[in-house]
Amino acid sequence: MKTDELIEILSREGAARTSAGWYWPLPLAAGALLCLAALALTLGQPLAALPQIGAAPYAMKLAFAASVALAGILALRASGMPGRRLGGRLLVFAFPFAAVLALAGMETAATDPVWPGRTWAQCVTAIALLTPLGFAAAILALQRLAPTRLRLSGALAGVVAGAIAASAYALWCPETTAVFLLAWYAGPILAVGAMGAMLGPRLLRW
Amino acid sequence: MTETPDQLDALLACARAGDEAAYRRFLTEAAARLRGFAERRIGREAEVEDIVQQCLIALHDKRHTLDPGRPVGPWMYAIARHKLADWLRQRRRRAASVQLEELAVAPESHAARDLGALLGHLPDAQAEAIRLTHLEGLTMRHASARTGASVSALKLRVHRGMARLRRLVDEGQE
Repeated sequence: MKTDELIEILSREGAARTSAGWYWPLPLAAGALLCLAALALTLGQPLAALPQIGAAPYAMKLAFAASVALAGILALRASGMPGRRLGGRLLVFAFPFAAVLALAGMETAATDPVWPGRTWAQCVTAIALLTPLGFAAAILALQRLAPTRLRLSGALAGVVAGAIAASAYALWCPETTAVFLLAWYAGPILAVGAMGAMLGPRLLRW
Repeated sequence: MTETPDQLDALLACARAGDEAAYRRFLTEAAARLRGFAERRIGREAEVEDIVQQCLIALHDKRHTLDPGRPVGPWMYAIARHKLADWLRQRRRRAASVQLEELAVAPESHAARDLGALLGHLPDAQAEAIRLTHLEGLTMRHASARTGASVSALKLRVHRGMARLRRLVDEGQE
């Protein structure tokens, strides 16, 4: 086919914005809901430890995981828009991690927090089992866009998936320490991000 | 890289408002710049036009990934670099393999069955367009009469389908 002919065909289809604009993160919302449903089915009532530990530990874990998820989703979108710079958006990630690191440091200095935490295995299992849902959702969301930096987009998809799984699990998690949050929330999220970076070039080609 | 940085921006803005002629001029100007871009990197080869076309289709299919008000240039060249890198990788792998464009296989052969299986991975419309024009050997006009799709729509489907098939074959060789 001649290029002129192709231009003729494409111009006749027109340049009106296709509707993929606003609903690209819908798969992510669906993934998050699936995570919540799966946890409700297996672990029962959320916030079960509220009377014993109070709201603060829940709020701390949810704030960390949800802010990572949110920063991740914004960076994920920018990474799927060709030619867009990410600089500031990647920096935003540092804040929740730095905050948890600082809290964990103060905790270790003041007390001798329980290690590794009574429910660490359940936490890691839940995040590991739920992450594929969010990861598939993030890959689907990216495919609506046009990722040109596949490792970066893959890493962000992993971080978002891990953070969504962790946000959901935070509602069922009875742990109270920042050390636990650092080890069993932040750690797995970063690990999933690394896996995403490896898978990105294979899954996101277009 | 662009001598008149505003021209593409203005043309695309008009095109998005529904001006078909502006979109034609946008694509024509984009094609010229993409041609220069590809020639600077791989020389004046026959395949340059193929790359330009793949880029144009990519710009068109992914036009929603440029937010209004953002400059076209960085967006367009990011897509072009991506497509060119993809093309170079495919060329390295394709060195010893078949040229799908030249396939004209007998319906009963192994190759036809393999191709049939590959076509299963394509959207139905693309698979049908390739099956009619490349396996059954119909002309574009006859295939158009058979499917009810216009000749130009069919050509576009074959083009997109072929690009996808190449990728499938390349991935199969990894």
